[in-house]
Amino acid sequence: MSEIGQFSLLLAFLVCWYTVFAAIMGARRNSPELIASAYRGVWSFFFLLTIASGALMYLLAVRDLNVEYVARYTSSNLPMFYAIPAFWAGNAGSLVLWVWILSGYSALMVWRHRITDTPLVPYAAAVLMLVGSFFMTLIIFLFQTDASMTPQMVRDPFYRVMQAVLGVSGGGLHPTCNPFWRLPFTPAEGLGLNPQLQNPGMMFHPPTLYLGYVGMAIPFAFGMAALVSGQADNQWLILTRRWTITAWFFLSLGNILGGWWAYVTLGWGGYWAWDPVENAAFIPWLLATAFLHSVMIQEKRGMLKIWNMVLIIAAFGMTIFGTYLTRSGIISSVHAFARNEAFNLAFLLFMATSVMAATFLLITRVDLLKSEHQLDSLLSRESAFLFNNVVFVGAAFVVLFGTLFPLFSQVFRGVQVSVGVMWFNAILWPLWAALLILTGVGPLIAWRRADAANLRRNFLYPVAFGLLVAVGLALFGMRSGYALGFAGICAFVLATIVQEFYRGTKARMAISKETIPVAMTHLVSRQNRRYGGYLIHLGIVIIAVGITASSLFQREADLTLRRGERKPFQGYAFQYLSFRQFAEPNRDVHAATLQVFRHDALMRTAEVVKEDYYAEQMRWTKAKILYTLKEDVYLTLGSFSEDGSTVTINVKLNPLVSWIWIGGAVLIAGTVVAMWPDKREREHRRRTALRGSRAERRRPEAAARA
Amino acid sequence: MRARNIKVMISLGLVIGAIAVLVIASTTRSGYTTHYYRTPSEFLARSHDYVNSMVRVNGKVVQGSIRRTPVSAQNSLPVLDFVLGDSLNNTVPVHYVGTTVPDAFKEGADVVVEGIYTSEGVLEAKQLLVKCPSKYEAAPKPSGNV
Repeated sequence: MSEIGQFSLLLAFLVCWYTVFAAIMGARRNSPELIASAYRGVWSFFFLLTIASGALMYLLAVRDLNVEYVARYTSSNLPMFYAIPAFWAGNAGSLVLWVWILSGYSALMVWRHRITDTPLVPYAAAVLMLVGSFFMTLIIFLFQTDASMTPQMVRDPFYRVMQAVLGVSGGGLHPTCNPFWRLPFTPAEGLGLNPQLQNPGMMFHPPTLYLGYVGMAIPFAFGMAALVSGQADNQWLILTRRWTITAWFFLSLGNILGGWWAYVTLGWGGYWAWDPVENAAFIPWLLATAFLHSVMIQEKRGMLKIWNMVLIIAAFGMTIFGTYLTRSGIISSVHAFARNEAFNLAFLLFMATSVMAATFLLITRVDLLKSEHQLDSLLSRESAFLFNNVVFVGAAFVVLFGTLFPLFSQVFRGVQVSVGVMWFNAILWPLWAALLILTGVGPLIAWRRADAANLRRNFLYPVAFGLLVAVGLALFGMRSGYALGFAGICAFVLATIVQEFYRGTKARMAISKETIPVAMTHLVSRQNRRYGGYLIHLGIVIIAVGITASSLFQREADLTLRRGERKPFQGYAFQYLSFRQFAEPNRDVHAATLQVFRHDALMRTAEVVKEDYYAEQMRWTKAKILYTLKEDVYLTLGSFSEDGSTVTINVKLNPLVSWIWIGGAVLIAGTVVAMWPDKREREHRRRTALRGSRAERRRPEAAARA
Repeated sequence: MRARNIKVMISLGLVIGAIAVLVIASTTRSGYTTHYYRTPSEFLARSHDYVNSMVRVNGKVVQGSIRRTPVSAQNSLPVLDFVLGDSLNNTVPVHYVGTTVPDAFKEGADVVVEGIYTSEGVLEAKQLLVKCPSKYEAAPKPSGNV
């Protein structure tokens, strides 16, 4: 089976390069046959990688421990449910997943646009295949010499040939990140999967994030195609709008799932720690969000064209960088593993080359990107979006700087200085506040220039409501300035959204005599982009409330309890009932049973555990969370005496954390609404796409009226 | 037209300037950044520079140096004292008050201590992290759990 996988990878590599050339030649010579052949190349690439991925899943499922990757990340007693996700537990498998997703996106993209008559599509396909070829090269050709092996121990025929051709000496040739590599011997047992990764979140989090990362390659490829082909009007944005939202959807989902996974499994009571791996997923999200907003300005007003190119290049660069950060060990953290110089160099080289090539292309074609309008006023939607973009990019830059700070300081001062959670929070809270305010302002303020009447009409009630909430909370005894400020801002944004829904519904009811629910449904479905956007903003507001409350008002205590003893904490009481120790197939479990009382009424009987995993030789303290909408009771077993006579329980009260996940769900739902295919829009897109670029120039005016 | 554009540009400049000022102010502020040392020897060579600031030192728990003081009438939280070293000559005494001692903390363990270096030459630990042997390919999370 590993041979099938390896052979598919080799074929895919060849197909990939053929497609690059066929697509470029086809587009340059305007040859439909060559272009059609390139499209078939893209589909074969996807097909071959699907076979390779299937082969890897099979090897993991049957625990073929002779395959190094399988031996390294699974063990015979690992449940099947976690054996398959071990696909992306290590470097090699993650890279295969990356290209597999890329090939899937490319295949889908080519399928969707196969009849669209524009050179953008073949050029974009070529760019995507170039990106794919880099990852294929890493997987297939990157190798190291293993001194503990002799050349005769290399079993794979391809690597035997490579060893002979390259004359590698000093040991056996060993590919660095090829998951199909067979060991010269079969180990008795595998090393097992890190137990913290043995969680349902692990099933979904990495692939979701990769779907987001890789998805950004599509708008990037179209942007580059626009520059190469010289068709740098708005067509590339219109063709990629839904792709960008799709990528953004997965990036958002990946970030939210990541936070949820950290909260549920890591047991330290928080959901975000500014860990480099978290940042690696967050930076592309910030840039993608900026891009989603600024393309609206280009679509409707023909402005910010160069800026959009810069943004998509940066966003794509950051997705590659994010992949690199999680796959290399440059800044150590939970997932960051695998130290390998050749790997690091190859990645850095690819990043530098692609960003530089893209920037060079942008500079040579900059005259194609003339702005059609000027900014008219500081108080206008254009400038609100511009500020939104500057703050988003600024935040991305701050997070990047903080993440890389240990590297800078190591290079320049010889000491590794890292920045902590406080550093990030201190810098970023004003930025989040500004972005939240813009969330309310941006969608409502007038285009071109807002006059006093417009401002009064749109913002009088929301501002009043925001102030009312802040003052009200202060009267009820809230003393934290941060909390009052954020509560006021969130209330303001909420009021703008409600006001929009109210006005839209009322207008529909007046025109078409519909009932409230019908009018609202029609409102959202007829203008799904706009109202989906409002729903996303609503989700952001809810998340902001949850984050503000849980970061400012968390309370914590360590309670040492003898058996039967009960101690109070903040209106709760915790009684230690019993202790038991038992063995599961792959671990020992130490468990203490507690009763949790709220205002002297029994709330729940809960068991907190520490587990010792055999194969991984690792102990893990699991969190027990009692969720409520008001606050979560977050319990962990701190320590226990061997006979179980006393235990120390760590209790954290996390207010409003559930709202972060609720807000996340609203955001995801809003994104689905915004990307829902709209029949009229699809017709329009097909017509404009077929008519080519001439029609496009008229579109901004038509869209501006919408 | 031009003048308004300039107004926008100046405002954008102010925003960017404000972000830059925030970054610089936070980076130079003590307690917001942590100096990280791979060995106690490296740290001790420069330790006088770091009195009262946040440091993170990576070392081994010296055999026989662990002293635990359980909860009693005097102290409401358990106290843990031990010595961090890379050789017997280069050691730093560590004082920790609290219960979040990582699961794998023991004599000879490879630990990272994050805390404040006091003028008495003691590292007041805020957080103890245990490094897993490289086999597991996972570094600790802020919890201190491995």
